Amino acid sequence: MIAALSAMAALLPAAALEYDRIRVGEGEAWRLLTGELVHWTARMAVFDLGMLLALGIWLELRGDRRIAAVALVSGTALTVFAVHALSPGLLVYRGSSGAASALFVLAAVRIADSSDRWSRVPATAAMLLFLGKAAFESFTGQALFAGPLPEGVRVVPMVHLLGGLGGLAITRCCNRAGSG
Amino acid sequence: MRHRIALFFLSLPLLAWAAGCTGTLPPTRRVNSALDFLYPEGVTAAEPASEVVLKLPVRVGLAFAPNRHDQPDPITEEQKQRLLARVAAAFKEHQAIGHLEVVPTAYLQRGGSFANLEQIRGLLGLDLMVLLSYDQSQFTESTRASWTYLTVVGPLLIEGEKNDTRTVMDAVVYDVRSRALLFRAAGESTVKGRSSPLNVDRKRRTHAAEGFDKATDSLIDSLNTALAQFEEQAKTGTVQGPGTPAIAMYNAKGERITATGGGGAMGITELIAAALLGFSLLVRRRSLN
Repeated sequence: MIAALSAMAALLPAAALEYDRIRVGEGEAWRLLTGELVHWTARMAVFDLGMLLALGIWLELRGDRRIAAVALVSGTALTVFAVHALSPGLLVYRGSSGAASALFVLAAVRIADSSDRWSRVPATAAMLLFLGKAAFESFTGQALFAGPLPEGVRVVPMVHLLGGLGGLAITRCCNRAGSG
Repeated sequence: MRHRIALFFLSLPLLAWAAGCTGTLPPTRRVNSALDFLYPEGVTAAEPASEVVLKLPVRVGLAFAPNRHDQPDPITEEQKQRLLARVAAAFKEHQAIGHLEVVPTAYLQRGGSFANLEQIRGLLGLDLMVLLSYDQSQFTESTRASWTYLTVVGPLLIEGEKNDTRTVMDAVVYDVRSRALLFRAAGESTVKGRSSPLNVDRKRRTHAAEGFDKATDSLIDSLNTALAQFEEQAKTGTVQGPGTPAIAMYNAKGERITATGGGGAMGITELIAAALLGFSLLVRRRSLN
């Protein structure tokens, strides 16, 4: 659904939808959410939306529609929190990687929960790699292997970290609720 | 005759002493500082700015920072206003500056800090404030020619005093709303001249004014360079590089004109992680089969 909304958002100028701290302060609160539908570059859109779409389809086919929806909402909310509350120097933001991170960790945990050791190990490794990189970048403030972005635009790793942790928390909560 | 000769020799050291008194003046230093005005209780009391928002074209105020103490200025108020007008004229050439107001010195109180700037902003509708500081030192030394002061006409005709006037002018440009220092520039000059004991005060005043004039020329050049560098730097999203406040600039239509900000972008590492995830799925499917 986010991918479809993002495709629709491409019809509008990105500046009208991006997160803009000043404009949000002036009352344009919708930018908190619509900022996650627009991207700085085509490559960024392909990476973010591609991951969102692929993971969404896999979770949907697997029958995890409800938990995926909860993970998406939590990833989106945590992205808003990371951008608006935890990054006071960040004036403008675009990207849907927070929601994609939540789905990524959710999918990794789902695969890692299987009894098959050969699929559990790479899934756990993928999750650790993802969260480890995001944590390293968040605490050092240095982006690793970031793709090309326009001048003046930097990666916000805090979004990946919080989005991923949100996905992890949702999975654990749902598992407990399921087993309880 | 003997009395006259004795009187002559006695008067020599007296004349030398008198020449020394009139010919050598202690160095003088006159300073005013924008930092003293903005942070009268020290910079540690200041809260760092986090973001700067500029809506172009901006309205800019220009003033000399008030003196630190009650010491008199080396130049008159009229000369100050003339120097400010020159700096203002240089600034007005930039399209980003819509209006430039020379703020009278009387509007700035000693140690008034940002509260005083807020008052001026409210009164004159300013966005940015340029505060000028100066540091001027004057040295007067006697040269060998000062021995001619022992003669009657020496102090009248011979300029045996060497004067050096060193002036440094500094301009700091602050965004009043966020209290962030946007950029600064400095200009300096050295004026060398000579004087006699009779005109030393007048010459020192003239050299002081000339020093300010020349330092202002140098300051205007530096300001133009600093402003161009600031415009380039602002495009990267911060005022003065990493660790300094973020900046966003909007044009008159309200469109953002600097590409500042962040993005949640997936990179190569995330792709590798996704590939690992795909691999684990593949392995699981095979084992299920």
